[in-house]
Order: sequence, then C-alpha cells, then structure tokens
Amino acid sequence: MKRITQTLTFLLAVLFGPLSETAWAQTDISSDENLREAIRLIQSGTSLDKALGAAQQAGRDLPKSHLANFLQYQAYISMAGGDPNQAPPAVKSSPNAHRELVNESKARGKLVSVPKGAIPSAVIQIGPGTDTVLLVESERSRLWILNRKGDSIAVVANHYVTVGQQGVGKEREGDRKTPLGVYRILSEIPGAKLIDFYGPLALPLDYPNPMDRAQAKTGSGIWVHGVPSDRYARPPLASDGCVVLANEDLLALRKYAKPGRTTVVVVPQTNWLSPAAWRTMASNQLAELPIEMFQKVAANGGNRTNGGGGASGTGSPKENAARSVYHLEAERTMVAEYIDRRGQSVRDYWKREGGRWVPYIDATTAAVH
Amino acid sequence: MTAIFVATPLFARAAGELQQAEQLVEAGRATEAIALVQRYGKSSDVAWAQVHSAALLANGQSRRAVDLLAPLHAADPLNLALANNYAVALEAIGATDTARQVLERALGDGAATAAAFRNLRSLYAKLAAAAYARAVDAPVQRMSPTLALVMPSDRQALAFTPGAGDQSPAISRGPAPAPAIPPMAALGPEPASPNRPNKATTASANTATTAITATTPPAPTPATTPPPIAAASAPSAAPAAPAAANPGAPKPAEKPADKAAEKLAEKAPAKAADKAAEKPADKPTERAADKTTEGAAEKPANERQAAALAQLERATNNWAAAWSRKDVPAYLAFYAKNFQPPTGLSRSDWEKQRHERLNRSGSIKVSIDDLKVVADGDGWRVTFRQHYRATGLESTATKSMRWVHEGGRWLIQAERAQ
Repeated sequence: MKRITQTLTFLLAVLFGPLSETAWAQTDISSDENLREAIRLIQSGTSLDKALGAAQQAGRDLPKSHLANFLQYQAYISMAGGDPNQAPPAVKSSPNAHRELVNESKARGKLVSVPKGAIPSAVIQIGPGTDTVLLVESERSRLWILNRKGDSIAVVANHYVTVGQQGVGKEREGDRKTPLGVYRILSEIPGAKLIDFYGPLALPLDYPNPMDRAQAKTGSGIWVHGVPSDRYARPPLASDGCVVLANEDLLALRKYAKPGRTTVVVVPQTNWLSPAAWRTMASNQLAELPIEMFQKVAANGGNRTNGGGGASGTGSPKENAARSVYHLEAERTMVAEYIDRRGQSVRDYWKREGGRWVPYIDATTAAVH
Repeated sequence: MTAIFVATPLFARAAGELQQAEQLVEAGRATEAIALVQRYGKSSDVAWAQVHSAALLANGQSRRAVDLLAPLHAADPLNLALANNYAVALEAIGATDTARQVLERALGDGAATAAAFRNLRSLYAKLAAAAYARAVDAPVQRMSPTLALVMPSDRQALAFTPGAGDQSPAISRGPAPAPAIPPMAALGPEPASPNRPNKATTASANTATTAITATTPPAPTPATTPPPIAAASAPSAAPAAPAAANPGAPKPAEKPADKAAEKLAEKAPAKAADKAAEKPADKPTERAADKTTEGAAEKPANERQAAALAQLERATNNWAAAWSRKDVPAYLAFYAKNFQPPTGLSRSDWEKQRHERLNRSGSIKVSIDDLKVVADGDGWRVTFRQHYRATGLESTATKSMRWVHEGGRWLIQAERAQ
C-alpha cells in the first residue's frame, strides 16, 4: 500500500512538473531575480549584450553585490574575447575571492523554477500554533517562507542563504556545519546589540533540539542573521553553522520570524509537488503516523505525564490538526510539533524502520523565551 | 524592431508575421519559424532572409543558410547586419577565413577597422577589469592606455597616450602599445605592421577630432568573440555599443571596510560605557595601577611615557573589563581595524570566534597586573600578566600587546600570549 502511494505521488509529481516548468508562484518575492537572470544569460552564452544589461540592472538594484560586478566582468571579458572563468591578471586578488564568486553564481543559478503554487513535500502540515515555517534547502542555497493557507500551504517568498563552511548535518561543536532538523526561533537580538558582522538582526535557534540532544550532538549559537553592512551577501558555504541572509532579505523576513511562533526547518533538498499531489502525499503520511501514541499532552497546562495522559489530550482529531508535521526525508525522520498552552514547543519524533514509523524519543518540552 | 520597417516596407500584417517568426527563432522553435518564413516570406527580402538564416542555423542547416545569404550579400556587401549573419553562417560551415573577409569588407578597410576593433576590445577588457576589481574588493590598477587613433590620410593607426595633468598626450605612429590585459584570442584584423619609423607627435585639435572614429566603432558584433557566435536574427539585432552604456567608475575597495570599522567604533564605545556603568571595572585593576605607577616613577624624565602609561593602563583594564562582562561589541571595539588576528584567521572569522568564546555559558573573569609600557615606533608595547578564570578553566599568562592611538582612542594592533 505504502509503495503504491509513493509511486502515485511520484507519478503525480512527474506529470505535474513539466507542465509548469517556467511559471513562478506569483506571490514569490526574491531580491536576487536580476542576478539570477544575468547568471542564466551568461551561462546560456546567447546574448552577451542582454547578459551585460541584466548584470548592470542587478548592480543598480543591489549596489553592494560583488556578484553583480563579477557578472558584468564576465560579460565584458567575453566581449573582449577573454575567458569569463579566469581572473584578469591586471587585478590582484586572492584565488579565494574568485572561487567564492563562482560558487555564489553557481548556487544562485541552481534555483530551477519551481512550479507555480507548488508545495514542498518536507512540510506535511502547518498547525495553528505555527504562523510561519522557514524552510532552508541547503543544496539550493534557498530559504522559503511558508505560511498556512487553510489546510494547505502558501509560498510567500524565497531568499538566497549561506550555510556552514562544511555544509549541513551538524554533530559537533566547531564542525562548521549547519544542523539539519526542526528548530524554533528563540528570540530576536536587535542590531544595536550586535557587531556589524551579524547585520541588522539575529534570530537564535534552539539547537541542540531534543532529537539532537538524544543523539549527543554538541555545539550552540546557531543563529539566523545578516551580513556586514558593506556586503550584499556571503558565499554559499561560509558560516560557522549559522543561516545567513542578505540584510534586506532578513528585514523582509522579520515580520514572519516571531519568537515562539516560527519554525525553521533545515533540509538538504525537498520535492516540490502540485497542490493535489501534495495533498495526497500529506494525508497518506498523516494516516501512517501513529500520532495517537504520542498524545500525552495533558489537559492540565500542557504538562507531560508519564504513561496515560489527560483524557482530553489523547489523539483527538482536533489535537492532531493542531500539530505541525515535518518530514526530514534524508534522515527518514518525521517530526510533529505541538504548541502547548504555555506557548512551549513540544516535538515528537519518529524514525522509519521496517516500513513503519517508529517512535524515536519521547517528546521533550523546549522552552521558548 | 523599427529597423524591420525601415528595411522592409511591407504591409503591417507581413511585418507581424516576420516579428512572429523572429520570436519563434528566439524561443528555440526553429522548425516552426522556417515553416512560417516559407509561407509568408520573400526570399529576396533581406529581413526575411535574416530570420530565415537564423532559423536554419538554429536548426543545424548551416549550408542552406550560406546559400540563402550568399546572393544577398553579393548584392549589398556593405550591409553590415547581412554580412554579420553571412559570416556566422560561413563560420558554421568552417569557412573561417572567408567569414573574416566578409566582415572586414563590410566594416570598411584597413587601419580604421583594425584600430576600432583593438580599441573596442581594449575598452571591454578595461571595463571587465574594473568590474572584476569591484567584485573582489581589489584596488583597480591603472591600466596603460591602449587606444589607437586614426588619421584621415593614414592607413595606419596612431598609438595614443593621454597626458597626465598638464602633460600633453603623446601620439606615436605605429601599432598601439601592447595592452596590459591578457592577450585575447586572435580576433579581428591586426593593425598593419609598422613600415614607418615611430615618430612622436603632439595631439592637435585635428587628431582629437579624428579620435572620435576610434570611440564610435562600427558595429563590432559578437561574431568577433570566439565562443558564442551570435546571429542577428533580423536587422533590429544590429548590436549597440555596450561599452558606451556603462562607464562604471570603479570605487576604491578599501572604502566599505573603513566605513564598517568606523561604524563599529562609533557604536561600541557608547555601549561599553553603558555597560561599564552596570559593572564597574574593579579591584585587581587598581592594584595593577599602583604597581605600574611605581614603575613609572623610576623614569620621571619621560613625561610622555608616564602619560602613555596611565592611559594605556586604563585602556588595558577597560579591555579586560569588557571581556569579563562578555560585552563583545565593546571588547572588539578595542581592536584597530588593521589588527592582525593570530593563527592566520580572517578578521571576520576571528571576530566570530571571539563572539562565540565570550558568549559561552558561565562567567568570565579577566584581571591583569604587572603592566609595563615601552615605546614602539608610533605605538606602545604593553606587557602584563593576565589572569583568566572561567567555568572549568583558570589560567595565567604573560601577554604582550601593541597599542596605537587612532582617532582619539587607544586601539590594539597586535596581541600575543607568551
């Protein structure tokens, strides 16, 4: 049965994909559109004039973007008959700076169009306790702002992000990786309390979360933050584990990032499904999830009880609907998050074992400051 | 688009079909474009032939494109857009040298064309280097000028060296000096070899006027850049000169960094003061002060040293206090913008590391004593004993710092633990 469902979901995704290959969700906002257009034109090599025009437009839109200048360089040097992938000997620069720009260009160019109205398969349900989900796809270097829309999900915007120098999958303190998983924004540190390096705002996450702690992962201080005031962005892999956005993107994101009401989900990559395919996938996943086993949130103030649990809090459809559910596909892990009456995040975890979802750890209450 | 109407006085409907065919070519739907051309187009019409040939080239039918354009080009060899596409078609069948001749002829002859090509190439390269410098925050190097002038009576370009300030620009006959940019793949015709001795002249009003020839080049067209050869699918595609579009004045790369440092310096001290009010620097520093004052008394001759000692002692204690109360902005504000972080870390990595170290849980207590000050060039070398106590760690080390006085503040330029 499971296999059939998966096959069906896959087929729907395949069928849906090519139809709307080029259409973007209309609601999407992305500050790097002109940069991506210039990257696309330079890669296609068909019109250097148009590529230069797009790069110049990106430079006017984003005056601090080093990449916009790099793209202008690539257009001009191609017109001069030079190699756009080589640094000009006339300019003294470190090979690092050059490589970082090539990497940023590749990372932004990776954002192939996502069909209009498509929904990421990593998010199964957004419950009323969660206003916004910030979904980070590290392989695309993108952060997606997702809002609940009825029983479905709306993509509000997407932004380029920088993650850890060593990529994702944080395990140890100092490994310079960004953690994968489901996190809450704990607080907001205003720019006045930060050095310039972190930009106008920082949003600390609750790494290590209950699952991380169960796996003895170490480290701390994983933030979502901005960039120094003299830059537009940083290379795709550059932080010590933080998720870094352009300052304008971070400020645009601010209204969605509410401590205690916003969840950050970090995955390597997710599948984008049509609303119909997503709905089928989501209801199948929810049906398979033995969620009632974890309905231990008691009626008395949301305190967890051992064993039984309050009568009103055991697996009622109402409570299930109140949860946000995320599928960490790469780790074969399902996470259900519930916000209790005191506004605290309660997360349950399942691992895929023998074709079933097996409870991984009992949920732990994570305080939200 | 207007060029279409100029070139083809067709009825509006036909022009619409032409435009549609052009769009199909651009969208990569070459077969449909060919069908449309065959239905509505006239093979004798240049605009239709342009679109037709572009569609054929996109469809891999290069030979047919050559055959289609050859008679039209023969009838009007100076039509540049036509010659351009003919050259693209010729190149596609491997007739590179014929393609070169077609373009050279259409562009006019000899020295002017060669000079304009070289100049345009130099301008692109110069703009490229400037954009690159901005991209990597590198200082822009002044590139030696490479533009060549053309005299009306000459068949040879004059190398042009703009004068600096009151110096007159120098002009020498012969090929332009080698550009300071990477040698580009052989492109376009080279200027004629110098068969006259090099003879420096001064720029006159006359030559200045002729210089305009060099800066408003004839259509360069991408056909001269090796990798992607672009076909002008209709006369409207006759290339504009992009070089003129963006003078893109390079900005000094150092500026943004400076600004950031200033901002940090402005921000942090105020905060340091705020926080210091909460938790004043305490006893151990007083003790250190006593000791060092004694030390200073031994050398009363050097008043400058005594003054520096008092100030540096206070600064060093404030530094330790900022560290103790985990006030990262205040702590980092003690470091000069040219501070060299130890162990080869970049400034931002170092700052981040400090941020993380200072923000670890538990209290930190840093106190200093045994402070000594020695003049060191335009700054001062300060050595002291540093006592560090944090949760689970206690250490005492001798530290040496180089302090400089900048913008009314004492800042740490170097720091070393022994």
